[in-house]
Amino acid sequence: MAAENIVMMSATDTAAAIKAKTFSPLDAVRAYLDRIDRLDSRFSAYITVCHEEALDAAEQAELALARGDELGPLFGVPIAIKDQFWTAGILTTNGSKVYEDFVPNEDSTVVSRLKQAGGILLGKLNLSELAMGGTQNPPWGIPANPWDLERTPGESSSGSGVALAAHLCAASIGEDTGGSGRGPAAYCGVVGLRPTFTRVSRFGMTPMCWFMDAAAPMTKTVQDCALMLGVIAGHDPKDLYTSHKPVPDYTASLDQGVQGLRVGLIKELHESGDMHPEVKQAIERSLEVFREQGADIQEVSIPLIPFAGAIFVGIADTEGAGARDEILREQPEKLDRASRTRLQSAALVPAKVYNRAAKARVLLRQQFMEALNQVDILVSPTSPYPAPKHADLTAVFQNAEDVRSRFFFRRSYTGSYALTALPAISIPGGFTSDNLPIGLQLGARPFAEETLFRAAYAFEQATPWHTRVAPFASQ
Amino acid sequence: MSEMNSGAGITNEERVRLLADLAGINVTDEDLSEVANRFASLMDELDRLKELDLSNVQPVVIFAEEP
Repeated sequence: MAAENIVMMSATDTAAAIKAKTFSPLDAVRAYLDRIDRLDSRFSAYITVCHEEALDAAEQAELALARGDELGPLFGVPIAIKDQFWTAGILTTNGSKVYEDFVPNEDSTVVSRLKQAGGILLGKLNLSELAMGGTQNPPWGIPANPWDLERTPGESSSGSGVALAAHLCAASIGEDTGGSGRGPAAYCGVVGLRPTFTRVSRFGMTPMCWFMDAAAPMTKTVQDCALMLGVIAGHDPKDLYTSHKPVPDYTASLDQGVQGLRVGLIKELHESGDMHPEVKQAIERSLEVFREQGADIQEVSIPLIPFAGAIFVGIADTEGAGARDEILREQPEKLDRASRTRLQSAALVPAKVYNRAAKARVLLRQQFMEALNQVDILVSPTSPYPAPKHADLTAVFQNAEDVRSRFFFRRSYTGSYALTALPAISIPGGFTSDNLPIGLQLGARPFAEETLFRAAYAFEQATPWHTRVAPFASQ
Repeated sequence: MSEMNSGAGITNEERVRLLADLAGINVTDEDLSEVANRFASLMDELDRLKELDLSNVQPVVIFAEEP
């Protein structure tokens, strides 16, 4: 099979083709490495490309295949990881000059499990500094959206979104503290999951906010996302908060359809006057897709959700500033200006204000759980608008109102699931008239990822959005 | 205007300078305006939460598995 066809395949199909010996692990790895070498100067998706390690791993895979070894579910699949996950012997920058020389001694649990499943690491992907978002001058280049190079691919797992949309890897792992996986998935027209908090180990994942950070499978298809979660989920003695709940085969129930499933549109987000009209239309069309397949469509109310952006920043940034105290005191000049000023302002938040946000978080969780007693799936856009231009995203804030409109508002859409520890997925939900992807976000009860995948898969199979190729990736 | 932004006779920038000094954080002159804007906005947004009745809510860390 020609290299240009290999790179367009899903991870699931790549693994199947390798097992069927349609092409070899070396063919797959070379196809991706050649494409990265040829195109990534345009996208800045990668910080480190592991040419030698990937080719060595592919050669080992060829031997395993020849021996007839038992093959893992990701056997021979070329994957790439956000540069926030530790990789033994490989630079792990966290997108920051502070970590420009950091080479971990061991793999994060996520990376270790991907390798055990047969995945081959192509490299480490670009991200906003310290996984925060808003970086004005990323040290390893500004990641460019393959749908429009002048637009942001979303943050902070920018490189993951770009690498998938540009077909520079077959699957990826990002990280999602308040939308850092789902946001880039939405803006890049791919799939991104925030699993239930505690479902996946955080060991070896540089923290942003300890009680909200979640490893985020990011993929070309829903089936790939289910496959990846199955590989990385489960208890880890190195992260004592990980759940002991058994990990199901998430791919087994994908095709059960949505007949009888109760799908709820989140009223407060849908009625927001700030939502882009084409995003609103896409969400309404999405509900029709679910209705046509037998789902029961309702409207649900979560009155506190418009506050979620402020609650999220009040908690996550304040905790993040505490965790980064040493950097703030000793190396502030190494931080990008946006990261530095964001952390410095959060470091000044009084305890009583933080406490109020922490209480509001509990109320928000109660309201989400009440809504999820009425419906099985919650629906909203992942972002109220399509990908903004880089310049608009990183412009210096002019005043407090500018901060509110550009910084807090959009965080209510994704930050609410982080605050409530619930799973949510972003899938391609349509396109604007100027060909920018629109993300459809689905949420569910704790550990209800199977329901989430079932609904997402039904929608994906009924719509053409995931098959569209980004214009700057079609070469 | 939030309770943290409402002190008479003191600007947002002066307030941030004062708090930063107490916290041992060095905010440069170049960054001061942006930190002040961010802080003022954060305080205003979080001030909206005073509308909520939180008197009987315990600020517990939320886990996916309820106790």
